[in-house]
Amino acid sequence: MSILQNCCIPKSSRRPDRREWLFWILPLLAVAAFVLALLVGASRVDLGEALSAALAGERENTAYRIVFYLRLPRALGALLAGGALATAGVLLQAVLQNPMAAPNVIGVNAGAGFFSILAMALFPGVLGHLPLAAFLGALLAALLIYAVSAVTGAGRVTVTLVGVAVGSILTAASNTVKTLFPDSVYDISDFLIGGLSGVSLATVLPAAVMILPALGITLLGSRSLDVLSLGEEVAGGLGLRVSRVRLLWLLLSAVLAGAAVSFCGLIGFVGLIVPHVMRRLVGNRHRYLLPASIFGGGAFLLLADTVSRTLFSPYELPVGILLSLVGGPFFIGLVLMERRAKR
Amino acid sequence: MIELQQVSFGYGGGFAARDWNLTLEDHSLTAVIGENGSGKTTLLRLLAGELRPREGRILLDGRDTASLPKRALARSLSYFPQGRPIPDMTVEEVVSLGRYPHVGARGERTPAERQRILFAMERAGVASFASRPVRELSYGERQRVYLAMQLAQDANHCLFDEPTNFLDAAAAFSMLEQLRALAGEGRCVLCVLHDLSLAMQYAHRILLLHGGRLVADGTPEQIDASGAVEEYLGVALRRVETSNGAVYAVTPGHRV
Repeated sequence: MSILQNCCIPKSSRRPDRREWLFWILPLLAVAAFVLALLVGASRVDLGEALSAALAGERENTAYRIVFYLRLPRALGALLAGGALATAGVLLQAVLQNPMAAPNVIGVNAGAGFFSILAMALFPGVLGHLPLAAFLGALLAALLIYAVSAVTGAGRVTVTLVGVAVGSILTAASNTVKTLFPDSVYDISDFLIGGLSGVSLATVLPAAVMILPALGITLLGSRSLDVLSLGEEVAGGLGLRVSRVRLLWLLLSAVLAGAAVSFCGLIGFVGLIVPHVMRRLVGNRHRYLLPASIFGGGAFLLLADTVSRTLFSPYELPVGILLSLVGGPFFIGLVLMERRAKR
Repeated sequence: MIELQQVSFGYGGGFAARDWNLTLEDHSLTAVIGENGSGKTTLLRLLAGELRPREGRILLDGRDTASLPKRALARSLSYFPQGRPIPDMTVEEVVSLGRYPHVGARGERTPAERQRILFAMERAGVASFASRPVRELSYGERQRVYLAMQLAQDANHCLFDEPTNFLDAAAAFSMLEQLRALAGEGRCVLCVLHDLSLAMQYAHRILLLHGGRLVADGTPEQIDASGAVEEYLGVALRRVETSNGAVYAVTPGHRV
């Protein structure tokens, strides 16, 4: 029996959604940022010359080497890491039902960083296993925070504080490894600050193998994130296996954050800033929010990286510093806005 | 039809539900009343599959709920819990999630699905503010949004946990009218209510719980005649005849 089968509402046509224009704008922005990243830098490079050299097989051409060995891997890395970190932020915010949750705020990035540094110390010179190690570290941190929130039923603030504590423990652990293995882990300040200067195809590709399928799965399952945002009991009443789904999303957020951290270090605030800006632009439905965060996150990190390497050219500011300078005030503003909304 | 067979449940060592044997028929609105902690919400959460019985089994149209996949259960039974976080979504977005058990990950993109959502919003009286954020609505309006979501879910068995809490009198009557209408269409509606007057006025059947036990079960008239309300809840009922039929006034009982 269904009362809804014979309903008398006139057949409505689907209204065009004004949010849909963003699905043209954001990918275009990412492409524009990508082209800009290839063109701009300490050296002036003719992109046409680089392409001609590539087609002619002139591997020693300077323009070719700058574009294909330095700028292209770095731009691809920024796009991937930005999209992955922003998506991990959206997932963590949904799973923990906490708008302040982001991979760097609650210690997920710190977990990935600790395991990456540990892997560098134990297996020096091997790059391929870094994404897996970073994923395991991110997963450890995420599970720890999730377990605390599930067992204690702690509120948003407590979960955030637990995450901050987990983050500082894991950062201390990273520094301990750095102290104990000075020969294997001698130059990781860029990694700890977060930056893309050392990115090459050899570090990006293993991470891409993890990030791209994870993003695909995330887009396919976005509906369950909407249901989850209604709260545990309502979501259960709508047929969602809440614990199982939460665990799946937590795993995926660890894959995304871990893989990104493995090649760009502890870049902060992308997972916090981008989802919040995208929420303002496209709303909270994950069907819109996730693709917007993927493209928006990629474009944002790529533009930030381009600014950070050209602002004081020929000197380069690690993008992690620039993001912290922007992200710190953003986070404070977010806390203030939350408090005002509660009043 | 919902059947409970020798159902017992406990949090930790004790029992919050003891030997519940019940059959809830279709075409009926059943109100569950009782003191705080008497087991009313536990009953609903057991039926919704949120809790697993320690003993006994629960059947939904003859099928054991323990063996039903979660989404299949949600297609047959909807649950309106008492406390809920307020999502950052519009009314229409929340109502459309009521179709999740039917459409799953693919979403409600077909015209038929859209029509169902529109109809549910019209029926619950929320269509006029469909594009407003739920956060900006009054408590009563939010309750209607969740009712619309449940209507969109289109289940044959509907559970409501104190849907009239914090509603003004007119909104509470309107909510109970909606529940009566659902029962009138053939659904099995079970509703936890603290307001005895509303329960006595609208329900076809009343279940009175006390200390995890079902101590009275009958029509409002039978419950009134049994004296169970005064015995277990400490208040007295006074039947008042009006032009719209009999209503019940609640007055202090001998325990007060």
